[in-house]
Amino acid sequence: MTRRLRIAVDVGGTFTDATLTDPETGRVVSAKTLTTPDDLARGVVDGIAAALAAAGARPDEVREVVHGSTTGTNALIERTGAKVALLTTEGFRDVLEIGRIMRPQAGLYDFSVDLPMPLVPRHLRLEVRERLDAEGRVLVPLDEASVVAAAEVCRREGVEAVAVCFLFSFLNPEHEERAGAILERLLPRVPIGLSCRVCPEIREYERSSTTVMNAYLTPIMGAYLDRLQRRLEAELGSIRLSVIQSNGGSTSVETARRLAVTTVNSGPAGGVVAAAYYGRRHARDRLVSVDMGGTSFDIGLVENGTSATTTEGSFQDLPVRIPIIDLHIIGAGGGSIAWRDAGGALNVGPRSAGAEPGPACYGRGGTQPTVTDANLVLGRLSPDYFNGGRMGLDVGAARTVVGRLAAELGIGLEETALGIVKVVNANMVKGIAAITILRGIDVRDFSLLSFGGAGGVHAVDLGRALSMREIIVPPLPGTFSAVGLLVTDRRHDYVTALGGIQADQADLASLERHYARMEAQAVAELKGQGFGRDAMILTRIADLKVTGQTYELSLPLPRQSPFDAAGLKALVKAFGALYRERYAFFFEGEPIELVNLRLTALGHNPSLELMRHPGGRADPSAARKGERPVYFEGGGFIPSAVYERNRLCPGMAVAGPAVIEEETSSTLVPPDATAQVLDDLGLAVPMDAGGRP
Amino acid sequence: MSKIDPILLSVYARTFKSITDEMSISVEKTTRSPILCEAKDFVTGLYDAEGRMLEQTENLPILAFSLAPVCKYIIEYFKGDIHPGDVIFHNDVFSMGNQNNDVAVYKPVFFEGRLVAWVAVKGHQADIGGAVPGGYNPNAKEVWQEALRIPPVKVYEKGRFRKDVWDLIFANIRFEIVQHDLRAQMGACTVGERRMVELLRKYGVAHYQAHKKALFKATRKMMEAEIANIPNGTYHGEGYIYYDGHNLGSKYTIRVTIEVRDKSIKFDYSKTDRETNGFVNGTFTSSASATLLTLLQMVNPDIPHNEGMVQPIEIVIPAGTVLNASYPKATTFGNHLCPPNADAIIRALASVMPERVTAGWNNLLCSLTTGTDLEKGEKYVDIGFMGLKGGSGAMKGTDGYDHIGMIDASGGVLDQDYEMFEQTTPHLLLKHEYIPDSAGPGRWRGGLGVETVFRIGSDDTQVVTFGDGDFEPAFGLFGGGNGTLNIIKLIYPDGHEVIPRNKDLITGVPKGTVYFQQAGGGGGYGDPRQRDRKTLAREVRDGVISSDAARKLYGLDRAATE
Repeated sequence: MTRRLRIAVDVGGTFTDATLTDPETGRVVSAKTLTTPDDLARGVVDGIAAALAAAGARPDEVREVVHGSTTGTNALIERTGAKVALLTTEGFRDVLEIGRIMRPQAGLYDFSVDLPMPLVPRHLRLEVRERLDAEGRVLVPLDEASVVAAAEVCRREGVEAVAVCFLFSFLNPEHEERAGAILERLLPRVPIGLSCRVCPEIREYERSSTTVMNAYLTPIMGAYLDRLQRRLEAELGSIRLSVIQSNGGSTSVETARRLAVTTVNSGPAGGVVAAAYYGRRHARDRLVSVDMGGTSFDIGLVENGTSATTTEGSFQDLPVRIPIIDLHIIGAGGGSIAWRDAGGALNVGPRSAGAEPGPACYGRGGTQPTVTDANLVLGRLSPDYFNGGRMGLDVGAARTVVGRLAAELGIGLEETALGIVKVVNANMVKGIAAITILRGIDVRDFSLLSFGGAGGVHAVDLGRALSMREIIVPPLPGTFSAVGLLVTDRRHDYVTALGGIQADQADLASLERHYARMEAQAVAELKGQGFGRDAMILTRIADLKVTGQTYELSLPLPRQSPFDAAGLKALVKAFGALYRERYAFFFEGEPIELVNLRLTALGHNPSLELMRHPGGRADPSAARKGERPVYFEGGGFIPSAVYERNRLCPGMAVAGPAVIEEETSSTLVPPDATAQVLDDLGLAVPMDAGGRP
Repeated sequence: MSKIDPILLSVYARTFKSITDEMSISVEKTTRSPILCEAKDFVTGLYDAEGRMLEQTENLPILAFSLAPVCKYIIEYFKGDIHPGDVIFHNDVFSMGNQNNDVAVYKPVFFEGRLVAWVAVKGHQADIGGAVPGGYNPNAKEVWQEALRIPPVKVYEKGRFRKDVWDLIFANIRFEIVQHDLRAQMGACTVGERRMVELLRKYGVAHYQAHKKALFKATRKMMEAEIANIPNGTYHGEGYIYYDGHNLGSKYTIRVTIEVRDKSIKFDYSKTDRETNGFVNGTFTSSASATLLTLLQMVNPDIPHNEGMVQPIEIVIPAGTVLNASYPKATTFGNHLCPPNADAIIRALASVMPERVTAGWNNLLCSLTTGTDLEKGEKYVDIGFMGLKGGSGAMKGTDGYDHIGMIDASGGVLDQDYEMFEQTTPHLLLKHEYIPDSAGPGRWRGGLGVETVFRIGSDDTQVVTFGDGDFEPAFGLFGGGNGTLNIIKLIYPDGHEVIPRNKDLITGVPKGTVYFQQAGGGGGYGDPRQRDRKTLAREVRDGVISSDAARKLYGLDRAATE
């Protein structure tokens, strides 16, 4: 039997989703298991076993596991990463805390906005005597004694990882490399991260921040990936393990271990990749993708069929200078806890009951009312069919905890449950507005693509509140992010800093050598991971700026190779055009500088073809499995039809009030809406153009 | 008549903001002077056909509230002689400009043949002619010793470039970089114009006009609700200016009387001291901007910045006072009268708004170095933005911000990037770190000050200083202590030291001289002995509060033994 199956595993705050695909048949099977916070690797193995069981497949048929990890994200949110020391050039101990701007623009007149605490406290920011000038020449030689002294502090303080970031090291790595060697000798078990390797680009603050965050996550990611790899090898034998990155592409375990920072927010990034893929499939190129799980609500934007990446992004308000998918994440999910504040108002989140203990209705010891409890009280979720009936939900427990809150608030039970839903909806609407309306994007032209286990119940309410033109709930919404993990390519990014070379004086042969060197490295790495040369896509990119300005623009070389006089001419011309497009004008005829050379290497994966189902009649009664009362605002409990999603056929129209249930999610169709079934069993709910001028 | 849609109202407000934000990014990315591209000493704005503010991106608020008055002045000045493709420059402080160096570019936006809006970008230029490179001339007594005056003038007319006008302006400005940067400001205006036209194409002019009006009304209501929160009454406060650049020991007092009546507020500066004979004078718009930005810090920060916001506010500043100099007085220092002006307002309102005021902020002390970069053979100007930023005042419940800088920027000024600093100036940076014990002690402490040291790399360098905060420290409130003072020091290669006055011009500074600056801390709020002990212990370990100060000022020992 050949190994051919690919399995994507996306670890969320509450659930671990495993999605299996057989590239030969196009079959996609998903399973959902509880996340195991005490040992995440165990949950991954459980999820894979569940997916294999659901597909009736054997472990030795698995070729690749693609993994979306929350380990790094959680460590950043909870501040549970490594104890890190930062070695800086003498005189610049505070660079990490000072940063470039003192507070967010939004807080210009608001002095209660707190700044994020730096990942390295001041007493572990250690100064080293050394200095390079702005050309990378040595002004003050590295004082090895001060490195030794710093190592001693690290040893005494029990530091778990060290970041080194000296001024101008992107032009000359000599001092950082030597300091790194000394530290490795004196602190043999401590990972040492050098800025000249993690992020060799100008701007010491962003470089420091990226290098420090990488060090902060290295021990925890390294240990986790080692454990996971061992477990998977024991269970599945020899497989390829890929790790999804914040740029939406995947990478090898080795790279993820070395560049742990690239795994932050990778699960949500996979969700946006999946949304873009699904949008392309259905000719929707403007989407707001929302993923509502147990703990968080992740919002992404797809325009022109693709998800935008940025190199000026940040995680938890700390800048990172690596390409990442633009995302907005808020604390809202099925597990979000409802509470009454000091002023007597009802609030929901950002605290979540997570997987342990989970909502009260899980019957695992949860004592606080959550969004899932509220949905259960309102009849929007079925107590018997949660996670395909494998997890019974305790309606009594939900009514008890929501009832307790109702008593505190002095209102009725259903009223309180509906209030919880309305408050969490308002939080989510505000979150969506933050990356759309607040940026001047009129979401009425967009489709809302809603997925995640809890998404289907809230989707139509959210779309209505934002006057969006349509709501789409894709097939397998509970595990949809994992589709992104399966459709994405292997991606590695490389950079060579030039320190500013006049384009008209550039030594073209030397630049060609830089590209060739990065390409050789990229090809070797991809080859080592099993990609053939014909599956590799290498793109040469250059960062250019107008001489005298400080910011550059990044663009792919119009003539990829070789980098010769004609290629340079085309590049400079394309730079002018891009500059003009971005800033409405250009400094024609002025000298241009080359700042960085970049290479993006993709290892192409076989694309995923979701199964198309044969069409049928518009009447959905064949999929109807019953009826139950569901509570709607203004109408109280209304008898609502319950459908089994897997029995629906393309072309059917499900009129509300109705609940469409499937193993990992439920979709609520309110009384005045109708869901159309798409060819892959996706659901589309068209909205009227209410509110349009 | 278009129906008002509450969701679209929000789309309009946010779109205006995203337009001015996008213009701001454009300026930041396409200018060359570090004052603009690194420190963001500029403002972008959008105005309606009558010059009323629709939205602004206020990287540096002290520049911000002169744009709408100048826009109105331009509309009146050209009396309808405004056409598609016009581009207008302006800096003149005697026609509502705030400071000579802050040159604004205005561009009218036409849609379907009608003037519908204006876009504008105002930025601090590296030079503006006058007697001293960089524009700060402590010896000036009249505007002509400071700068080239630019009343409204078209550099493009109906899309045609006015080479003659352009050359006249730039024949009077030292550095070529200013031409590049003003071209960048024009580019950003085109970005804004393009976006505004897109918006109008989508919704139409009538729809825009109706929603704009509704937006002004809604915003006005928000501001009125904030003012209604302040108890009715008349409040007085003072702030002090030390040294006018000519008479040693001179001191001037800003006196403000604030009248709060239900939903309106009036700031009356009639009792403020007379103008000086030097450049320590405000202009009406620089002083009014100072008043507005200080008030904005005390109210709901989510109020949109448009005409509706300013309607309930009245500001009276008689001409001839130090906050509103008469023609043709020198005024370059005017922006920097914001700190003492803010001090006066805070002192007036502290007792009635104890939850909203901050303690005193570190007053700006700034320097500007100019010279020739020997390696590049080019002239340069550097305002040491990373050196001048001290701590802000603490507030109830919140420490002041460390090294945030002058209140006139409201913390919006970026620090220079060290590596960019060395690529764009001939200097070598030796140190940039927080100063231990600089923060005013308090239950909530002031922000920390910062120490900056660099070696001057150009010969025959000129150093201009301008500012305050070396006589009077940032004040504490409600039992909080004061921050530390500012100081600038030049250590010459032969070892002798020069401490410039706070408004001074030092010429012939040799290469290798070490420039040393401390920007002081902000004032504290509340009794320092009530400061959270865990936080205090962490600060002692981190070395930002010495154990000595922790004992003496914060009573750490006593608490630890109890």
